[in-house]
Amino acid sequence: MSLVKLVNVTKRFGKIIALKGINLSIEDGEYVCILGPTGAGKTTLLRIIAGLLEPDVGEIYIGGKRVNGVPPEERNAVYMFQNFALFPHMNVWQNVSFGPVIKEWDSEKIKNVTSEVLEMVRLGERRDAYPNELSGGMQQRVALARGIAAGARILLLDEPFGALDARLRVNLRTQLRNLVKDQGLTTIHVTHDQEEALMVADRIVILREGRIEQMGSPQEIYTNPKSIFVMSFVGGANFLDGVVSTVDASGSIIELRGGLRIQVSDSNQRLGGRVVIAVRREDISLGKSRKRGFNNLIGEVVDAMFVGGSIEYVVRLENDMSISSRILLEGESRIFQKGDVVIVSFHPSECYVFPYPERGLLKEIEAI
Amino acid sequence: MPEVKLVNVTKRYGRIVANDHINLTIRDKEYVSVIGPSGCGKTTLIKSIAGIIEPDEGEIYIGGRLVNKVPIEDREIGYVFQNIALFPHMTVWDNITYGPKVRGYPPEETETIAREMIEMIKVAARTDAYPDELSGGTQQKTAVARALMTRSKLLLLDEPLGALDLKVRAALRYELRRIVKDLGLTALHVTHDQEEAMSISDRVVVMRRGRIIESGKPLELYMRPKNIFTANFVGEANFLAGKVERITEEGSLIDLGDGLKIMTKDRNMKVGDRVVTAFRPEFAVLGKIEGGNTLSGKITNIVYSGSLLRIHVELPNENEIIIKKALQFGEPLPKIGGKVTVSVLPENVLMYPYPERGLYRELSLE
Repeated sequence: MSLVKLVNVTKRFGKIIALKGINLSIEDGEYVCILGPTGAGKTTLLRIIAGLLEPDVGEIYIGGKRVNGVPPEERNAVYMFQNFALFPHMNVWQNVSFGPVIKEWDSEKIKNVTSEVLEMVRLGERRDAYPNELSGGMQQRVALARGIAAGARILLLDEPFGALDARLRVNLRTQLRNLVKDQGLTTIHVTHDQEEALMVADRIVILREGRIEQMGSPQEIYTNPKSIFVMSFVGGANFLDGVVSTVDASGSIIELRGGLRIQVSDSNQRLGGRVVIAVRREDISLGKSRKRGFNNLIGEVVDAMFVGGSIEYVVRLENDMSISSRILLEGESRIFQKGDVVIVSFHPSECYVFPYPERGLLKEIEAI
Repeated sequence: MPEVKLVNVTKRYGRIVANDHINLTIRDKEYVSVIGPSGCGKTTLIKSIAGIIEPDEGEIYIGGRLVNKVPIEDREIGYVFQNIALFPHMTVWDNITYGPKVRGYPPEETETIAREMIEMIKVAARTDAYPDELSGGTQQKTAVARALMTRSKLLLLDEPLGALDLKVRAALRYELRRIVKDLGLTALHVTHDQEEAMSISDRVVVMRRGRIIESGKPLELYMRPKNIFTANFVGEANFLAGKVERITEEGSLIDLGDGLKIMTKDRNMKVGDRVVTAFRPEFAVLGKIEGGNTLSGKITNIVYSGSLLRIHVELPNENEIIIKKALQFGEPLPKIGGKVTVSVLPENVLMYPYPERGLYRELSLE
């Protein structure tokens, strides 16, 4: 039985439909990331689960019980974090024991629960500290401890690392995942950071314009994107517009502008169909020699940008199309300069083929 | 010729020293970014240059002129901040031409400059749109255009992309750099995003606790950080503590304990010194490479993020290191629990004196 279940949930704000017929089941102990651009409905979804908003249509079940109309404070197991806000005038102990005190548990029980939870988040020694004396990571752990002490089984996190330094975020997100997994909590984490979602989630739900565009494990989403939108939102890709010129058992050949031919392993194409080939930047390698069994195109490096750990190249192909490649600076990687002539290689099975979108290619990508 | 020069600039808030004797020169037409953990003083710095904050000590020169007492509107700067500050009831065109209009500049000249700016930010088709009809990215570009209507040659950018989605941010940073370079501006950009700073700037300044600890070209700062804090702040790194065992022509050999040794090209310490060696996860590779250090260990975890694998390896001395690997087509995946050899070239191993305050505190990002 799923712990959280949404059936056909729809929510309107005036003329805007924020969520359209959402069906989603979340298992006990699962870590789910809701990913999507601004305005996709991510926060609305979270607020509906928390009870801060009521859906116009549809049902919400928590632990098998229908909770439509149940106010947030009575959705016992659910805990919504907003910027991990702690009470600044209370020390760690008072913050963490806040829930049990409000619930008027007996003092022995409050003491036991509070110390146990503080040990869990490794903050037993800082019980007397005030929030402003703690680091951001510690404050986050206190907030989590407070939620657990109050009986939370389901954590709702809305962009929990939004305001933090990029480098610090990388550390905190893995810490947070380990912590909630150790506690066996169920987590629903809203983010627009695809890397964050790929790293921490058991399952990713991609929202677009109020609908679920795709859901699956990080690897499924990454290796089997079902639309141009997902491809573009998760990972970043090159999109090449062309026409299917040959189809056989081993795949298809797509002809691009200027007669450039690209071999793809997808043989499920209609001859003469207009398509878009998508290739991830990180699947494209640059070199001085052709790679066997790969597509090999000649081009000139027109831009090379260092992006911290990787170099992002823009290469102009013979047909004047541009292609970008992102190469991790590994042990012995070779660095190319502007003006270098290179061979751009990518494997036929790394080419995803989509029908040319009705609304135009830019529209699919620009929505981001 | 807007060269910006700060001499001994100090600003205190009670007992806290937000800027502690800052000396910094931003050359004409240079694009400089300032990064550092929150509270490091980077916002105070940019606000002092803008004239929003007056330093307690020190001098600020813009184009050779001492501006400490010059109010913001007379400093000839364009200032863009995180919260997009367009007038919601005005169109793009009216927003952009508002400043010159109020100042009573000749309308014809204003129109010419505005057209140039609109061309530059590529929103030509949308000059009659209202802000809420535009994407966040376009709104922020409009804010940049408006800031530049003064024909100012100095652009101050205070977390200009901070309020935008990651994808938009990544696309806009190249646009921003292009605008600055095409117009020949000098730019100072404060950000909490290291990758943004690296990809957009000619030079990156790293601040910590009110001081500048290091500055350099992005690639240099990443490859050869002079400071151990920088090594950790501008990208992930593995840190292994040890003692200098031997120094040779080729570099130094460091004893990491439990029979583990690592060779670095650096030779800046003495035999017997306590040191910390550091290398980036992507410079460590699985398997042997010629001339490389080899460390053996056991894979304890593998985390995927798209095509990148992060492989955690436990060394015999119980230290854990992380290897970042781009997955190549058709390559077999390593397995958790498997024994592996990790190699890293001596030139990719950095060496620092063991921090007096302890390694953990020195590296702290907060």
